[in-house]
Amino acid sequence: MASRRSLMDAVTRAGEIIRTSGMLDRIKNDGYARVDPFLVAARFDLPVMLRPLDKLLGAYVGGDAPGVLINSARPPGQVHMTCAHELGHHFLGHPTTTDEEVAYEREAQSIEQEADTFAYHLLAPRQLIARIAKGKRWSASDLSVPMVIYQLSLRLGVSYRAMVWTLRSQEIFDYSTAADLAAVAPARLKRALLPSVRAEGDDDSAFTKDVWLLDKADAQFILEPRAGDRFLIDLPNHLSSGYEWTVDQAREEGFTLEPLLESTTPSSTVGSEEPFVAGGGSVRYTVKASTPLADDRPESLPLDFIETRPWQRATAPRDRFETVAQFEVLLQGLDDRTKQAMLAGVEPP
Amino acid sequence: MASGIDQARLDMAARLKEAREYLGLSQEDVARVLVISRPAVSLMEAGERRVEAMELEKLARLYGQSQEYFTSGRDSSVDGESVGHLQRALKGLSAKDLSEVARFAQFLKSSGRKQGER
Repeated sequence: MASRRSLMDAVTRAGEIIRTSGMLDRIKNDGYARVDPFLVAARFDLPVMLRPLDKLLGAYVGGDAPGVLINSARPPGQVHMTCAHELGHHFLGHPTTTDEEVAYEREAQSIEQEADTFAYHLLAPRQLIARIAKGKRWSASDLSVPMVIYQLSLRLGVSYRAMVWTLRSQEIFDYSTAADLAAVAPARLKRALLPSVRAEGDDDSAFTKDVWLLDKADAQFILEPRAGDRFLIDLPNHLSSGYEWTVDQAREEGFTLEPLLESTTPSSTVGSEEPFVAGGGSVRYTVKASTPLADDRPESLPLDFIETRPWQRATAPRDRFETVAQFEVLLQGLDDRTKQAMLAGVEPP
Repeated sequence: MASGIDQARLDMAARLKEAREYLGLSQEDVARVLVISRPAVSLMEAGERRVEAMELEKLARLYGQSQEYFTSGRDSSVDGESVGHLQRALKGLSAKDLSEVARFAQFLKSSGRKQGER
């Protein structure tokens, strides 16, 4: 078991890396919501290889020529957490290690506990959780609602379960609450947001992609979804005075807004937001891309929401805000920075 | 009918293609390095274009493998020493995972990457 001292050191090291890797600037100045562990590796010239593996989540190869190997056939949250865990081994000076799991039990080897502690504090440090919660106007009690935890986990790029245990470690709720929350399947939360998907005949496989629930508070963040993720947005309703929300159609890569004309089932365990309410409160829309996104190259797409009266489109809108979706692409093979360096090493002058 | 020489060329072509794909490099990347066209790279990886000695030398450097590996499939530079220190870490892994970790360690070693900051 790791000593308290060595775990404290791992926390401190994670904080240092967030600063020295430029991640803090990227969040504070550029508006990103999360720490990107792949960018951290690139900033420190550490090669990262993505491969479909069997049982391994990842491995850290230490020594004179260090590098990180990650199983690409896992969900994004797990891929990010594995990368952060292997970075922990690197920055804490550990030897070569293979990991069939991250988030080890208390009895695990000390280096695994240290790498876990580093990973959690790299991707989901207290200040970053607080920043998002403040921006989204989530109270401490909101942070024990499964849907809120899921939406927080998407913004930080970690899995729902990892988010639950992070919040537990920060004493947002007690152990038994954490165990109950961790037992909620993310697929159930996605289904609660998209009841019609089931009606269309899709099964649970439709829920491998994530469902982002946005509102005006997301205007301050650059979100990093993956191709195929779905978006819902709650917007203030002024339909009775003739105002409608649309997405700016002038842009080449268009999105359209469609009101979600079904009430989401409110449930205390799932903790859905308010259902569709005509005439008051807010209306929930689905945001649909008019052309499918390429899943092999990163795209940064602005979502420009405008509230106008249809007969007054040309005049000043009642309200308007923009958020940016920067789609994350993780391809198999070496990370881009290492590839470019290798090519430069043999390229003709 | 494929003669022995044709077969050797096809084997080498397959190894070149596999080595490129392992690293996630595109045919365009390779074309730029060799100063040939992308279709020429495609033909090379199909065994339908001769690989010049200079080209093989560059590709071996780029892919972090010996030229001998591409021409014969054997690699005398892999001595087991490079993965020897992994023994303990590799214990109990499935055959596929074991070969993936060993291959990556071999790649890191042969590409002689400079060490990242600690």
